[in-house]
Amino acid sequence: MRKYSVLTALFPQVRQGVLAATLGQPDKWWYLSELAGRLGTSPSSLQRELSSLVASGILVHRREGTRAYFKAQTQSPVFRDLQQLFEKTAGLGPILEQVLKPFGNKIQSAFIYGSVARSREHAMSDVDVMVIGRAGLADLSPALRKAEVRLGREVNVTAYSSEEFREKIKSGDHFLAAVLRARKQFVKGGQSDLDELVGK
Amino acid sequence: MRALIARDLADASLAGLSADRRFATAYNAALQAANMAIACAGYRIVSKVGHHRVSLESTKLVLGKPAQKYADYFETCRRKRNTIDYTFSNVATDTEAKEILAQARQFYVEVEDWITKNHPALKM
Repeated sequence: MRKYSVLTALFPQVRQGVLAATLGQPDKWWYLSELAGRLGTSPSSLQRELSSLVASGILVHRREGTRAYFKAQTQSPVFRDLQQLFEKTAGLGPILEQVLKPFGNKIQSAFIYGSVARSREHAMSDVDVMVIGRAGLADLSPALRKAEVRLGREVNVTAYSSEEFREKIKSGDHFLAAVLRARKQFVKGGQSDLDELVGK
Repeated sequence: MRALIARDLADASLAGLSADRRFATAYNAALQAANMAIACAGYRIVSKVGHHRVSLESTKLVLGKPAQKYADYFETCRRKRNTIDYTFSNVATDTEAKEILAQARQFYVEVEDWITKNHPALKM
């Protein structure tokens, strides 16, 4: 039996793309052709979806001269629910999980930290990701480029070998201590894997 | 340019330097190796905003497909190096500083091989 993702079962492809982009960066006003470029389609093919999403109150739009801009209606009663659905299925976490998966055991732990993990990001916030293991930036860069295109924002990785990570923790490295205390969103492994790595 | 690259590769190996400084110095060696290949192909990247990015992108045109992985990697490093030089300290890890030095050395070897093959009059 052919398997469909949750989103494919719920929404047609173009609507998925529009919602993933707008709900993923809810403060950003998207210019029509910018949104079309992100989705790899023509502006005209987005018109109908955008009109119905605006009419239903899921998106808002404004005009500047001849240009039309769209963004998520964050006051909508279903905004947070929809955003959570997309975060779980097509958001940052799932996309990063997907691009890091091929590295298998080369990555012992990976997580998003900083403003995005604390849900304090603004539209243009970079995504900070810590990767611990044997996968270096050279291994990760091609996969990260793909993730950046899909997410529409920069992904900055800090890579540690397991040995360096442990040593830095032991020596009380301020940066790592602050990162470990703050909120994290795991994309490989979980808190128990990280605790094990640290030797707790 | 060869002397400059040799200097930066040597300096980026100095254990007494911070990981940030080793990282940024090895990055500079890689950037100059990219510029050397571009110069051998008869071009020069004008020093304007974004010229590092243009140099790294152009290596794909000059060296062809084998340069793709380096271009992607050094583009990631370019952003980290900008943060190191202009915004924060303690940005690069030791793991990253060692890796970029190894990658810059390898990239430089590939550039010299390409010059030997394609521009023998300019070979070392």
